[in-house]
Amino acid sequence: MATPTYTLIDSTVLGSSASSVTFSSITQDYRDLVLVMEYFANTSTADANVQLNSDTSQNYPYVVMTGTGSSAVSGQSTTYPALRTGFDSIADTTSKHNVIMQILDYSATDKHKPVLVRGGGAGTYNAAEAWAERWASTSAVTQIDIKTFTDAFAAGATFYLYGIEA
Amino acid sequence: MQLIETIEVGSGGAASIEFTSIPQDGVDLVLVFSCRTDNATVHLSTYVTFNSDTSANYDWLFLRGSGTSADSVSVSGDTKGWVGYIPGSSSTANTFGNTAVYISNYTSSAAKSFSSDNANETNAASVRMAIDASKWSGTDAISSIQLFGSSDNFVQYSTASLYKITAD
Repeated sequence: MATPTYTLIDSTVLGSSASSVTFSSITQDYRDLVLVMEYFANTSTADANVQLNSDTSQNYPYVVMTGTGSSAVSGQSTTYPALRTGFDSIADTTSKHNVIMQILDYSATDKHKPVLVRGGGAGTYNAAEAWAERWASTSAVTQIDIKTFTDAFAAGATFYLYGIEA
Repeated sequence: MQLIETIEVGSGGAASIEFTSIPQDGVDLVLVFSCRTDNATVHLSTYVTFNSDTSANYDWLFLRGSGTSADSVSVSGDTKGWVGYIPGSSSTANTFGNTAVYISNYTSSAAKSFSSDNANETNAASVRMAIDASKWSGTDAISSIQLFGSSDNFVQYSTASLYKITAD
């Protein structure tokens, strides 16, 4: 069995604050995608939401478990308009939110796309989270839009998209 | 993802596993380890430090499941970063705890965020799994990583592998 490898497809490092980042024309040459984000809020609260192929409908059900440092909670939704990855709630350049998102079988056209996310941050904002999500579409993933529904990503935020070979 | 080095603990055990002279040509690092301790416990915490920094520069929290309940713990200003549980001499023989640690932007001049997921399942009633989110406030590029348990030694056949993810 071949060793799965990370091959960089595209990346963005923000030179100034922005409310969205887009990776388009995603090659179909890999088995899975891994999106690695490290960001912090620009002024108050930034949430990174990921939409695939510009689909803004409520096609992204999820279940999440979260540790806050003092409690453990879980939630779910069947109607959310993006893949969720959590919040960075404070504008603090030393307390970043780190997210690793795996999009499995992203080029398949015969199945919905399962998505696994691990993320969180320690310091000013405390959370360790794991999300199991799904994009309810049989289309191959060709575009990824990473959006904040509130605030913006501060300058210095990094976004790396890798392909995982079969 | 390219393997930098794998270290296997030899006979006699080792108090720590250390990766030094880490190449600076990657974007992220992934540390994967499968370890066991000779401490008389079933769940021993493991930690990392970077660049031998043992000052109070580490913040971490974990979400932990025991098979019957879940809870969360956070620590600020620690001298080390928590990365998972490993079994000890009171655990089922030949079982090891397994963890993957992801370290983002390890050569940056900003504080480093890292996260891990951990399983300490030993075919016994007392089990643990955890995810954690951590921060090291150091602003130097990470050039060495020290992995160790909260007490005693890693036993023989414990392994740790360090990978780099590049922008190639």
